[in-house]
Amino acid sequence: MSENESIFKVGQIVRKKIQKDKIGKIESINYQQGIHWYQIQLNNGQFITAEEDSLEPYTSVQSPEEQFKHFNFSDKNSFSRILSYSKLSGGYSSNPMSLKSSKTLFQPYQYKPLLKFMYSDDQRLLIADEVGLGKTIEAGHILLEMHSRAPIKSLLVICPKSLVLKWQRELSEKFFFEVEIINKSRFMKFLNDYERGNTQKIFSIISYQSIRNRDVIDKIREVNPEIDFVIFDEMHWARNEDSLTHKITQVVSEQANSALGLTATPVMIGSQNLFNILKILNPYEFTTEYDFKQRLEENKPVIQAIRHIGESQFDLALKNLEELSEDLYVNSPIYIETVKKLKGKIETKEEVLKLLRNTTELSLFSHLITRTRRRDVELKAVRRSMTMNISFTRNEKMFYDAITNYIREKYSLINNERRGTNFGLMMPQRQVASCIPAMIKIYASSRMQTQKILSSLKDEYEDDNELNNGKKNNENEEDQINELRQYIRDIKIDQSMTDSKYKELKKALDTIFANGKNTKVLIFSYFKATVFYLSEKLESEGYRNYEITGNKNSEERDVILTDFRNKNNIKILISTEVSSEGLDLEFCNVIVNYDLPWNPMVVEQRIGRLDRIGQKSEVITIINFAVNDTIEARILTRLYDRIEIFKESIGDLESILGDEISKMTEDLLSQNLSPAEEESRITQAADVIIAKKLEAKELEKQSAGLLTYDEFFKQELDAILKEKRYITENELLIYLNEFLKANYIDCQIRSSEEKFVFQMYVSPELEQKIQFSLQQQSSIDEQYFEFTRQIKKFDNRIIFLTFNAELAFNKRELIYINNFHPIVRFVTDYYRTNSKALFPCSSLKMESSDLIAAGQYYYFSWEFEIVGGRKIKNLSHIIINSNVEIVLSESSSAELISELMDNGESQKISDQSNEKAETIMNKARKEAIKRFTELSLEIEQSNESTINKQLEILKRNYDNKIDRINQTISEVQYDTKKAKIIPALKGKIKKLSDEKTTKEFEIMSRKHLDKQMKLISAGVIEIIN
Amino acid sequence: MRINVGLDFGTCYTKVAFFDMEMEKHYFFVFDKSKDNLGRYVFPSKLRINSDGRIFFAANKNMAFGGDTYYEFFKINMENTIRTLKINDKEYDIDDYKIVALYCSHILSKVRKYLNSKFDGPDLIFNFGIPLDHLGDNNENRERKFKLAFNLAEMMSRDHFIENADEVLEFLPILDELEREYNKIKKEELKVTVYPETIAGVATLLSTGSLSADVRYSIVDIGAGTTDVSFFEFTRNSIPGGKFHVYNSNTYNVGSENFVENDVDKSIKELRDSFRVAFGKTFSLAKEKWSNDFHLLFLGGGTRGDLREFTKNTEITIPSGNLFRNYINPTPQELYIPDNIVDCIDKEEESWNENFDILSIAYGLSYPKMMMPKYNPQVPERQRDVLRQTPEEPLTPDVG
Repeated sequence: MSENESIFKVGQIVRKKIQKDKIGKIESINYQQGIHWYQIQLNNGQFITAEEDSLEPYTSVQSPEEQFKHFNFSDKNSFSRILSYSKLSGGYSSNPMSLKSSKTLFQPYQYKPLLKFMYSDDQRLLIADEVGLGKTIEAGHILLEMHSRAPIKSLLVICPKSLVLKWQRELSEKFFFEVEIINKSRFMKFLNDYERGNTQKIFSIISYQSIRNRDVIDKIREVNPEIDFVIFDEMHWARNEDSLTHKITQVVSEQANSALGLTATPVMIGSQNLFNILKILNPYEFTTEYDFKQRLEENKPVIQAIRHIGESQFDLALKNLEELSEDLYVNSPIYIETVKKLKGKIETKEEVLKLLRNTTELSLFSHLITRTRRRDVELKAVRRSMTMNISFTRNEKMFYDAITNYIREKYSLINNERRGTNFGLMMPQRQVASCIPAMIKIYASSRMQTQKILSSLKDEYEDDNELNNGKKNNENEEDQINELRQYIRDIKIDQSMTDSKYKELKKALDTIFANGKNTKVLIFSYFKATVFYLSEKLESEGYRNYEITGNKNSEERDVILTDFRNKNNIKILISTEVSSEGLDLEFCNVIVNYDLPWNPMVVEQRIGRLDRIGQKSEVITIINFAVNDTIEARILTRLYDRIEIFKESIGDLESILGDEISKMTEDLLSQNLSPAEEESRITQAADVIIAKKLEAKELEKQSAGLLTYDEFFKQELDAILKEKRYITENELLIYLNEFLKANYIDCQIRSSEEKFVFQMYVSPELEQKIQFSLQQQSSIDEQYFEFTRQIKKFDNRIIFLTFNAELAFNKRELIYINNFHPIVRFVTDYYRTNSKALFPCSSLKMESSDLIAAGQYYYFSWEFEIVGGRKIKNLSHIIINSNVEIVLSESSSAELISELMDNGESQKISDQSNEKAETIMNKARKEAIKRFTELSLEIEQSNESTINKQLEILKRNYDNKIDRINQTISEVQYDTKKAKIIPALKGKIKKLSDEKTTKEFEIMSRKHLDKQMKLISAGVIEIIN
Repeated sequence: MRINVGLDFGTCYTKVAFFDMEMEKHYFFVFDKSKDNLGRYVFPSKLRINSDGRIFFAANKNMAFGGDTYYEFFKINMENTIRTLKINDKEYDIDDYKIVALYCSHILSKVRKYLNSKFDGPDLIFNFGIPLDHLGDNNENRERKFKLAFNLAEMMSRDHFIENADEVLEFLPILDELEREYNKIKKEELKVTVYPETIAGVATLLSTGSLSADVRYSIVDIGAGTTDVSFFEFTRNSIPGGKFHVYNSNTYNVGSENFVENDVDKSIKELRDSFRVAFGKTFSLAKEKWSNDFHLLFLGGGTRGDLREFTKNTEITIPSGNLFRNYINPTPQELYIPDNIVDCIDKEEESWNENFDILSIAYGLSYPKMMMPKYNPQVPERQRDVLRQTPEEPLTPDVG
């Protein structure tokens, strides 16, 4: 060949030697500087100029194995690209996609429920974490994960009315679900539409108060609407079997494909409550409470075995398992396998994990419930309390006594039934203790309407719990208030009366800010009027503050909270508890109880805003205001100090406190008690509460361990984090940016001045392409709209983004790029349709690793997919050394691959013999087949029982529905008028049985496992010392 | 293994970057590891020949012995210069381009030595930046001379390492010999290419994706001795990629170091005026495009010194023929730092980062010319032949 003759010709297809994903056709050739330069049009349409040495001829697509055998290695980018792509599009069953992919602060334990849910067959779980651990977030993780696997088309969240907005906000802000709040009539309309065959799906939040209704229950039973996912918040509301709340949850649960229950109530086996709740979620699991308890007893050794395996006491675990005698356990293949394993030698952590997993699977209860306690996650903040003892001035005392006497007098006059919840009387008594000037201001005002005064008291407060829901008589309340107004006007009020409480508050605030410059303080009052008064007064005296009451809508609240969190010059937030319900204020560490609620649960909820996961301060200071010689002061010392609420969380005792508090309230108000008598009445209440608290603690101790022991999930989560079986921030950044650089170079992501914040120019072309791609996948969603809104925010089309969840959580104005962001979906979709851009083999180098000595290695990543009753899809990594030996365990191999992701670099490889490549490839294939066979065997063992269980549930579910219709038929058949509907009912039965048959057939077909394995990525690694 | 070396000769300093074409990585050449910050990456671009004929690189003017000949700003007017050197009391007439070749040969020898030690038999090609007036009359001649000087330097550096205190007379015959050889080599076989340094800045911008389509840009590179100003447009009217149209490009003899004789304000005024004139020419070519919005980017060490004042509030008044004047305020454009750079092969601390504004031209030049954007001069037909080394039809930039 003469010197001027090029190796490649115009029109030939070539690719780059190092970046093997760059493939294109030669357009023209130029000879310059003694080199042949080729103008090449790439597959993505771009032109590149490349010199001859960097090119090689491209022959049609070859399998990864072929590529490996020919030592066709690409660069680091190709390595990262194909692995990230596989993770993002693969739907691997043990890679949680939602991990670190929502706007939440990362708390590992919050993923435990998700893992449980992912591994469960029936997708029903009760999350029974203690208060302040973020159950809503745990539910959000599950929702996000399930949605990423198979889009959730219909969702129903049922929660107390006061939490409706919180749910809407959290789901939208943190998890990008836009959920509509609906009422009863809207829900009925949905049911009616559904009946008429309208397929519009429901994606809503509804309160228990709205949905619990006889008509709704009947209609659901009649229509049987299919709902993908249901969440029952504060599920203890449904604990009472006779209540409507119980019935509605039961009916809705029957319709749902997946269901989550959330409660913070102590888990007590002894109580019927737990059984009732679990039965709603899992109607076919246990028939009677007796049966439930019986099974719990039988299951005990399994739980103990899990515990022992977790502690590496395998002989004890074996003993535990050998105690089991029931057929249910002993005949199961998993049992036999586990016992066999336990008798042998257990060495690797994989083996331990597998044992844990199998034993957990043996347990009958593990999949039903998850509970994390505060001490499990070491909430480190200590509660410290301070009491500001205030002596009223003579004038203040006079006014206080006047009101107290007036109320007692009135109270003794009304009849007994109404007493407990007599709003019109109870509130003024507490208000006078809260803030005298605020009270005078509104009651003495002649212009204010009585309704308004009432509303200023209530702050939308409704006692939501059905059980305590006495009927309120608004007219009566108005009358009472009117009388009181008159009474207050008649007392001679000294307008310039000093405000002793306020004076103390200022002193306290000064001390707080003197000790900690950036301390944020939360001041609580029960009353809106007090909040307004304090806010205005403090502001006028230079204490910048925000106030939140029910007068603020949720958007206003959000703005305030974001500002309060981020602005340094505003350190005080004044709020009523109702409007702060569900807010996370973990960045505050001082709470001021300007007035004291009489119910310990209300106090606990106030403190719970701060004393929750994420609290960084070691001490939470609680400052209580108590005026000497008032009921509040006595409640403080006799009740709150005794039950130690200011020392540690008392947990959610609401369901077991029962009526104790309302009885106490009633007694304190109605009877003309002397201070000593008041004290003893309060002490009595405290004793009851302490006793109940202890009882609950004791029962909990016995029960929680009995139900479930979650060692497997803890260890599995550790493994996921260690092996990076999720997409890390950095990985996602590289994944996106490599794509942008190759295809939209002017849109590449650039760092900004701030750490973790990036900027990106979004060209109209890119925006259009994203829109088109999402339209094709019909997945235009709220996250997309938010994205386009942000693009249009500035003329220069530059957006600011972050991949860091914590930063996104704190800085709401940043675009958060997670695994589900439209731009990520766009890129993944691009690779799906342009598979040539993914090259499977790479050559890498890395500077030292703790896992492996210096030298040359080969890596292989195989994808295993086995579909039966469950779908199992995994990545399995194999590392082989230059002596053709397998060198690392499966999980260590995964760790090495993740290290390479972070620290690996491209490496040029000198040619090696194809013969050796062949030998290495064979070794890898052999190992992969071995692992795949093992996995298949394992799944085969459990598949039959999984299928049978699914069939059983299906059968019971449909039989139940059909039975009910049959019952209706038998009821109406002799009623000539109603009998007309019989044909329609029969039609329904036919439809249900058809549905059942189809579904049965579908499940049956999964008895035979559908198996496949394929090599995703392979290559060579040089570890340099 | 092919390495492209990009050389940016400034008035005071020379900056060198190189590009591993296979791995697609750029490196800045470190001249002096013992120095911090910018000092690591620069080599003084001055040369002195002593009265006894010895050559000194990196020489300081004050170090000169009597009768020394001192070369600086040699890149500006070298096309016709012949100087008479008095060596050991004998006079020699020497072409300036030969001195340039000696200087460059010194730099290239250093680079070659280093790269040979780090890579396994690298095949080196070179891309030199040259000053170029967009419509300058002298371009052709000057370019020819530069090409000759650089090629001689390249050829020389293969076998000779000129060091401090080497004797100039020793090398002159070698240069003559090499020049004869040079004339015989086919143009396509020469290892050296040249590229207008003004435009190399644009190459940098393109390679880092800093340019948005359909936006007008001006780059002002304030160096120590000269200021380069260019006006261009990047459009995406063709698919894929885009076109790159140069409207105007000029070099002015005002820099951060040569205003001392004047006063600073005067220099700034001079710069402003020059910029305004250059803009005026551009503006007259496509008024409606430029009057709206254009982006202005400042490069070079001069932006840090006293001339910084110039970079603030660049406002241009355009007489519009009627009573009202047009005021144009360009939007400042950020210089993005590309992420395919490695400090140097030995992984030293990365201080190039903070100095990227000064090193960016060398970075741009480290892309082989064939990979650089081909620019499309927007000039009247009769002047187009001045720039005929650039193809008529612009090709797609593919760098990065």
